[in-house]
Amino acid sequence: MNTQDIRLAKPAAKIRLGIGKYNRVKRAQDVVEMVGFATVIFVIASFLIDGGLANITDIPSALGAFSRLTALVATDLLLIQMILVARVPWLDRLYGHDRTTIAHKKLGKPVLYIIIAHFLASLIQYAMQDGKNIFAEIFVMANLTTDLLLSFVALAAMIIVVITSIKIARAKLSYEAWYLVHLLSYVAVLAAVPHEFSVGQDVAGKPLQSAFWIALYVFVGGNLVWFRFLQPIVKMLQHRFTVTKIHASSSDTASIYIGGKNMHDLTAKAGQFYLLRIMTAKQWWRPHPFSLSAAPNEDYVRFTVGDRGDDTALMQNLKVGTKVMLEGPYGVFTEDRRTKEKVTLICAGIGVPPIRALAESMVAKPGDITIIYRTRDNDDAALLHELDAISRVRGHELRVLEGPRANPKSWLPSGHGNIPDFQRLRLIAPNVTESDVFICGPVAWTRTVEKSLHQLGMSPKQIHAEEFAW
Amino acid sequence: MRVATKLATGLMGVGVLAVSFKLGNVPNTGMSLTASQSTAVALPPANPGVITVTDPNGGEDGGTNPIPSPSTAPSSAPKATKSTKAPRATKSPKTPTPKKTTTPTPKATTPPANTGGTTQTTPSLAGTKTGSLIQEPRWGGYVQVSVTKNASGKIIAINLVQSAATGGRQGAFPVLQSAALSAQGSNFGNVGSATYTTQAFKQALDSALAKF
Repeated sequence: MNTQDIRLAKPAAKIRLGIGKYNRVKRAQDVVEMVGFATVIFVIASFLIDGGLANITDIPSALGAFSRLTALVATDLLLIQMILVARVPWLDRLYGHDRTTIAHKKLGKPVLYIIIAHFLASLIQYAMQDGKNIFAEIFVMANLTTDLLLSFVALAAMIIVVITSIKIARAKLSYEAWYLVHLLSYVAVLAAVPHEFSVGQDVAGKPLQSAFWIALYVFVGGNLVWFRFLQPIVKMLQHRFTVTKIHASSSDTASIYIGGKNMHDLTAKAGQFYLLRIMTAKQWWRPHPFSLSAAPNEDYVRFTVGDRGDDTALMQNLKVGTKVMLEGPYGVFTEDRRTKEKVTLICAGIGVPPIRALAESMVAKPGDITIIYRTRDNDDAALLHELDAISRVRGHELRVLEGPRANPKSWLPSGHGNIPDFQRLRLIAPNVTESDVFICGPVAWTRTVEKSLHQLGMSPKQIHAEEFAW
Repeated sequence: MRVATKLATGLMGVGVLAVSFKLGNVPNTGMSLTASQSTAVALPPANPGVITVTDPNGGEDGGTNPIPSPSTAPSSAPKATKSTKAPRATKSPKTPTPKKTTTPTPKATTPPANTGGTTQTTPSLAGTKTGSLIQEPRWGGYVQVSVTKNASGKIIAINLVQSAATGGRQGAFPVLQSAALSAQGSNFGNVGSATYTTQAFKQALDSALAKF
């Protein structure tokens, strides 16, 4: 391919570098986390001020207090968990989609355990007071008010959602089945609301607590509905995104060009990704994450999609003119996180698209940027020609490392001698320790690269990697 | 979070919780059945002894004298004088046996008897009204209350006309009465372990308030 064949975006004239950028992000993260922490403190404090502990006189009242406390904490954490996957830009800008998703997953089981503790405590408390066994008490409670019956439904839904999300189950379930089951979590959250207000002692008639909970529900719900559901639809209708061109970039990858009205309004940056929904009857409900494989311009955004079986095979056979929805852009794998003049871009296989986009648009003098591309076979490596052309135009150092892995613990192809990866890396990219490193590839492979960087004594502040965890 | 922030946040959190615990560590701030046994019903100073607990089992009513329930003498006040300002009488509960008697207290300024059907201009703020008898369907309890308001429409007393509860739930009534007094209506939280009793009491209260 010729340099004339590809369209290259003009990089910005200058960029702010230095550790101040990093510190600003950290400060903002601290503020967000403190607010989250403060909500938990608030609900516990309001419980204590209300005499939650002072009222304990016997076992049932102790169980009652425990039940109230666990309910308050669990509901608060549940709402925090919801906002983490609401795909809100103000969180994504700070953490990236992958880290918010990981935090959401980490909270899943603890929240369920706290909710189960709340359920058991109330059940035993009621059973003791009524002098019934707990199994009989379940039916008594379910008959007590519709609100409690609904809360049982919520608990059941929540248990199903968590069980289908643990690792073993995820491995056996198709994504689609998991996704459909996961929609139950909305049912769970909503079905639990009535009993919080009617049976619960901590909300009704307490203006401050009522205001807090209503505000929290409205805030989380509003963010979720707008950013996760409505905004993508609004953008689709505004821009009328369609597939404008499909072009094979290797034997098993294809670049999909998406055009529409006013494409210059899109705020995407090189290194970010969109969730792409093909708006056909069969595909619309299954979004797929794809990184931009070229810096965005006023005519199109471009994704390069590998054939991973499943739907990505179908993607390669899309018809020009197919309507699509773009959700995003997401991710912090961008130049915004760069603090140093030198940059090392490292990618493997279908991790190449964001690296290709970054190479195109990063601010750099010739020699500032080193690109390391791990391929199985150079003749069939996606976007290699484009990277080559960009490197020639921009003066980047391109190192293509071809061949199978030396051994399962290595991220480099087998070479001569027995030199460890991190020493070979220094030979390949002499500037690496004084650069910002952006890594994109399979998760296990990324870990081995990061290990080499740590062995070189590099700070985590210099290392940028993003996982497609979703 | 960075280490320094974590420490600061953690310390502040612990501090807030400690203060909250201290503030909450006075008895009778919360509403729970067990703590209520010793609860003295908070009364407006001007009307001592107005709250009456006629529940035969409810001996722990905090020193108020159990007075037999008010007379159900039919009132001369016509029903047409419906208040347009009855505060917080939001719900109109389904009342199986609506009682149409009002029992004015001696202090109450009885609204002028107006036989006209369209008398929205004469709100009957003060007075005592008795609500419907509400069955608490789960535990075989029941409750009927009368509400007394002063001239400015403030609820100054809530009396139990009839009440019964089982399994120690009668202890909830004094708590409910004082909660309703301070909330000036039925917008208050559940009394722990007495969910159904609370619901029944709120219905009974609302039905009485609806008559103002």
